[in-house]
Amino acid sequence: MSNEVKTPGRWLGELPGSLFDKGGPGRRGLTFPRWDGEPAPALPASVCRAKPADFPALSEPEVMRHFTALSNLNHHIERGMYPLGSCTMKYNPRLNEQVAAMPGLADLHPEQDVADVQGLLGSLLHLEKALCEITGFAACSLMPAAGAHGEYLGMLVIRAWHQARGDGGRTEILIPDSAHGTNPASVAIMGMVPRQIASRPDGRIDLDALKAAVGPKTAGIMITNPNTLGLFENDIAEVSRIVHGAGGRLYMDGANLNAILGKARPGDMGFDVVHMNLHKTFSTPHGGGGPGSGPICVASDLAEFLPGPRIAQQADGSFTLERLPGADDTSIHAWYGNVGVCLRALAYILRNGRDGLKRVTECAVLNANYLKHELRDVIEVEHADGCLHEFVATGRGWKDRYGVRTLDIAKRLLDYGMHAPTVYFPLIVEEAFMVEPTETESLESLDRFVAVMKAIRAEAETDPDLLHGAPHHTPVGRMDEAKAARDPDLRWLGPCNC
Amino acid sequence: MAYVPHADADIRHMLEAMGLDSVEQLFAHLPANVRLDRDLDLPLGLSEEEVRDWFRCAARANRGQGELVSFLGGGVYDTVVPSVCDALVSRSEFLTAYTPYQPEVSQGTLQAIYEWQSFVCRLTGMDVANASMYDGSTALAEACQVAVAAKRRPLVVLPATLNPRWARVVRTSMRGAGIAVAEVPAGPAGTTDVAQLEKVLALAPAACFVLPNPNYLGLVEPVDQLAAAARAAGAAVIAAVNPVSLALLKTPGEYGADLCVGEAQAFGIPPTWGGPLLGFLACSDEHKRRIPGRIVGRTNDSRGQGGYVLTLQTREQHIRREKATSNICSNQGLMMLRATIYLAMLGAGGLAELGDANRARIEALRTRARKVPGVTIPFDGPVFNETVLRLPRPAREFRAFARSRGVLAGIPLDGVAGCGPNDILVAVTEKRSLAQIDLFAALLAEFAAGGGKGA
Repeated sequence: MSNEVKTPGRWLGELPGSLFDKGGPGRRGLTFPRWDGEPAPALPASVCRAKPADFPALSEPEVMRHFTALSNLNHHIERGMYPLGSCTMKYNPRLNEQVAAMPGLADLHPEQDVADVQGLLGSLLHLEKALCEITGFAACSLMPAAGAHGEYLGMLVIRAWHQARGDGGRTEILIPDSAHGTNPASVAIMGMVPRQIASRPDGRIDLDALKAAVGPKTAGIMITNPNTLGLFENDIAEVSRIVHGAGGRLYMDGANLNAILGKARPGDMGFDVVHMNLHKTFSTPHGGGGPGSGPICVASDLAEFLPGPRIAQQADGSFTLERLPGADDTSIHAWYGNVGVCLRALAYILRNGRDGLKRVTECAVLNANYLKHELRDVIEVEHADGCLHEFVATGRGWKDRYGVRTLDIAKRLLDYGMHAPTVYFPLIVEEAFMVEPTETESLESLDRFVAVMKAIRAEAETDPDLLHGAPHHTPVGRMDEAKAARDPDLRWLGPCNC
Repeated sequence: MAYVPHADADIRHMLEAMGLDSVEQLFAHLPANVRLDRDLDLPLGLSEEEVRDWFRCAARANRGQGELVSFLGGGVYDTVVPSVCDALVSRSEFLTAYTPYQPEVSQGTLQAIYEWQSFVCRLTGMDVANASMYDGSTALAEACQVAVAAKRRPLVVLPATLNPRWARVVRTSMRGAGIAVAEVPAGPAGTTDVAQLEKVLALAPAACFVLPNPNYLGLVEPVDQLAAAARAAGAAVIAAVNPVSLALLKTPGEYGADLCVGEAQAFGIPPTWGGPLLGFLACSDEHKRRIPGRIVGRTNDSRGQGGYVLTLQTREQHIRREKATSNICSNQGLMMLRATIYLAMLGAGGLAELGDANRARIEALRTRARKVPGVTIPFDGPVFNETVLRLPRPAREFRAFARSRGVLAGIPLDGVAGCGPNDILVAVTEKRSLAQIDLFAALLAEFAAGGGKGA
């Protein structure tokens, strides 16, 4: 395949207009099974709404066209590269979708008898055990519906453990300055205090700063490993010794677990709790924002603090739901979490197996390192030593030389049919440009990214305004975000054609 | 190897380009004491067909609502899922897209969120809605946090008639944040008694009162009086609604709710043993900068066209970190899309019919149940799609008996809002036929006459 990069062509589509402006009086999409019984007596007017909700009236073909037209405006992983650092945008196998939609799984009501859900309970227990083996822990809760939800549960568990020991005065959670925003937010909503720890110039946790920060108030530390720079915290054993020595527990944000499958396990590094993002590492789709799933695995002495009910297998092979004494009043979801997402992740784990998961990590790390290497003369990389599944570059040099910012590079990439990397994160890198190709990208796809980056740099040299105004070939241009926040238009106010 | 494009030759080529001999060198810098020196104790990978078969086996060991006739509710309902919902959410463009942080290539997702927000506001009578929450229970817990922040009062008041699973999630969340929770007992009508609420509110200044409607027992609460009592005490009103019921029932906007939350699974989302579901959260204009989660706004682009962006982001964790209104990041995006498509399919005419369909079926069931000797309906206030039946023997026995006849009878209510062991919560949806309701009534009669004893 040639690495020649074509100048992008104009977008020729048309914006679809509002759903609320479509359809016409009397049109209908959905109809319901016929009712042969008597109509109900009318409810008293005092409990009824004054007038019907003003919904549009559309036929089924109109609904299909509208949402298909909307879909055409989206970038997606099956269209092109999605190198969003820390987000692990990998291929989402259709097999996962197929199994989760099977009758006997998708149509289960959460209030059914355990006898009716034996196959499901067995599957979920299988997933719990696989996740424990992958992370090196003793027990798992699948209840968290997203990564941040897992962080919240992890903090609940750590605090409950301290309180059970009569050590409830521990309110501080230490967090490196390279952390995701959810980490300090999850700590704060627990009424605990996040305390920031500086990173060393090499991007790892500063042990001296850590030693100075731990004390009788330390409840624990939250660490992403590898961290958001794609770097492994090489001193993790020492971090563990310091924090455990001070009476705290170690929480790992598993957003970057794709870097270490079958290579290293949080439980072996001294961590006590980890959350996983099944929608990152285990290939369940992001769905334009969710649903995700953020199970946590914990060390054996924390298992009793996980929310119930817990799945257990009896001597006769059957499965039960058991409530543990004490944890019964703790819950973070009405039912059992995003079960359908868990089934998808299980399909991925079964399909890959121990050999496949290791290959996933090896190729994800290979891809990131190859891309970093091939881009070495194109954009400056921070912390150039030993990145794993992602690396952080900086647009500082482009800014100085061409007056072009990281945002401009990101927007121009959209013109070339690629999604932008994560930009301006982590916060500790100026003009950050964080690239995670994942194992999904082929050699040709990586080479094309490099070629596009070179083409964009040539444009930056000769015509920086082209980048300042980018994107030019997308359905819409740069949006006026200031206007959106200043003068919020958050719902359709006009009448409907109904 | 599943899903990874590289052949060994590709890997060699890439390693050579970097001057390396093996992939292992890329991991050489990991400290030896944390390296896994063995293979993971998992089976080897399977083919696609083997995995499919694995799940076929698992599914066959279950019996779902496709096989059994379901009268289960309590927040999750056996409702119609239009084929267009399945078809559209399967499109890669929606399924495999990320959060719409790059609006120029995410207008499809963004506009769908805006349309969802518009539907929620029209349905609930509220001013502003967000892009979704994990489920109804977490939406409620977050709404309580908003009220506490707005009123600066560390007390939340819940009624005993609230879904106990939701109450547990709220209590967990409040306990974490050091906020007290008080409970108003249920009155004899199975709803919250206004005088009882006033008594609780007089004890200490509360941030909010949670007003479920219909409540967990299926009953319509005296919303105007309860909301007025809460307001008089300076507490915010948080409506917790079944959104389907708003086809007919008074909207939270009409009784002046400050916040409105609910579970929207009934709008085209398969139940999948309780998740992924779809929580929604809406508020009056004054709270729009306090609520959690993503919000989409309409604005203009650099070419002068209208378009959509994520907005009011200074509330969110990726900007404000520990000062954010919530830690939520991933939400229930694809479920929200399903519900938006469902509501578009439903339209104005379908919504009215859906409300009537639920009402007709629950009243038909109640009429038949009343005729069964020994079975009573302990609360006779208006209901939408759920009702409590008081049986002559324990609800658990009836459940087991009905299940043996292929019917999922309902949820035992022992200990909930003054209910006893013989009380069961029974739900209908637009899917239940007259024949199925007649079957339910026949089982009820058989059970009341001693059927299923000792089973």
